[in-house]
Amino acid sequence: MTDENVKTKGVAMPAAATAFEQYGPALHRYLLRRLRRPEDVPDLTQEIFERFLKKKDRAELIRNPLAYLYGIASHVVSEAHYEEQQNRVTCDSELLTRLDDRFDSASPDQLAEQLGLQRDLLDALALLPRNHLLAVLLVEGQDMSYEEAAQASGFTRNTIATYLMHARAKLKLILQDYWVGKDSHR
Amino acid sequence: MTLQRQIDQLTTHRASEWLETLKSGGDRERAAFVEWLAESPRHVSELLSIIALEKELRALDLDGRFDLKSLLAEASAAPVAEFRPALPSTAAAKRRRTSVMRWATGLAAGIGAVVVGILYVRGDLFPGQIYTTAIGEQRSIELVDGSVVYLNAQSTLRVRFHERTRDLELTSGEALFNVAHDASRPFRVHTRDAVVQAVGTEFNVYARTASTTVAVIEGRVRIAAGSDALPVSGASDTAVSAGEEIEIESTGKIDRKVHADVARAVAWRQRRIIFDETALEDVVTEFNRYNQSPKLRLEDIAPGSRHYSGEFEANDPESLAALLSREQDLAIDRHPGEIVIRARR
Repeated sequence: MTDENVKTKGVAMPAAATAFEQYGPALHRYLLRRLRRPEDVPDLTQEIFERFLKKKDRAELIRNPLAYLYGIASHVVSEAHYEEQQNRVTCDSELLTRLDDRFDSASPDQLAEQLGLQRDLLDALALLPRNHLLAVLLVEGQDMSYEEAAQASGFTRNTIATYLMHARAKLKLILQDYWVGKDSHR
Repeated sequence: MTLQRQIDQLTTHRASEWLETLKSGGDRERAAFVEWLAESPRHVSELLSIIALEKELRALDLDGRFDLKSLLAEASAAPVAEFRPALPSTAAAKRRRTSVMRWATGLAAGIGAVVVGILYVRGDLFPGQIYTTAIGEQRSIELVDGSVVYLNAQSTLRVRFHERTRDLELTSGEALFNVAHDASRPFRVHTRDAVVQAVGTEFNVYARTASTTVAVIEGRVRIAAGSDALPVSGASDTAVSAGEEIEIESTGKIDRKVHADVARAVAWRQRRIIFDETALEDVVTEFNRYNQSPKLRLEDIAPGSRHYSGEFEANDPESLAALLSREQDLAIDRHPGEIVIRARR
């Protein structure tokens, strides 16, 4: 993590790409559930979007837009959880840690949902074009850099990046279609 | 596929593409990304979903789930792209398209009002909304009438909507138009070489330096050669139906393909480019439209002397260079930000 931090609502927000990792668990769980069972979660996107638009300091925003977006999204999701519990408090620097602790102890239902999601993801991977699948297996599965994946496959680095880009988008669309279809049959 | 579905798919791909761009992009890319995010809550939503999916993918145990060895073997055995050099042929040598007195003051004011009125009606007083894309950039634009324009890389489009017409000027580049039906307001796309008129349909227009190519995906359009001509029934009009492609040269000459591969014409939306007996200089121009770096450059290769067919990832000029390096009479020189393809001496 870099020393480059921005302050928002009294919470130090890491400007490095690891922001999502730090704020991740609660946000990640919310996003996956929203993707898979949208009817079960409140859609907080509009609130995230409006807070993003309110950011005045563009230079700061451009320096690390993803970290800023993760920060906002994490706060909005965290606040929504607190509101759900009728226990609204002012967001502080320890809020996310407490929330993540709570969410880390997942319930049996959450674990089952997580396993179901992983199974669906594996099924969706099998539907990818083979070159796209190969790029995913090398970079995500084998933890290779793009350069290493290019060397192993004979593709160029740009091709690996393009395959990954297409693979992510296709996976999302495949899963979305599958989950929407499943819901309509419930 | 519904229009909304197409827009959704495009947004998903765009979000995934941004994630990739941000990994190596600088201030300019990040600023463009912020602009994109600020365009719509959907963009924010899509981006966060893609990020969550990527993270989940990373956490997945993929060991032994797929036959990595056979995938690697397939990749190394397959050519980098389907590609076959075509013999230089004359048929393939495509045409390069080819003032004291009150009365005077009153008169001047009157004339002025008339001129302003005429200009207003023609829309000349209003420059319209201008949309541009940089090298490699693609974007979708939803117009006020509900039509959607997908603008390809390095393209400029001016949109001027009036009470009775919807006029768009594709100054350069390429765009796919999905036109909302409005029989009372014809939808016209003007290029240097032609005017394409539709009511409700989907068609692709590519405005090159010396010609304009129109491919109709759905419905039917009417075309008139020349930038100001109006496509009405008459001798100079040409009706083009779904599945047809037409090329209008700057000379006014029209070349029609009745059974065209229109899917090929819109492959750019998936950032793929397909060549069919295409002159090498045009192949190079096409790649350079998508890539800031490396740029491809030809040296000592006569225009029209070499033609190629094949399908490529638009973002991968290296794949073209790699294949051309197999040609005995060509040499490939790599420099920072540039790949030079030259004839061997």
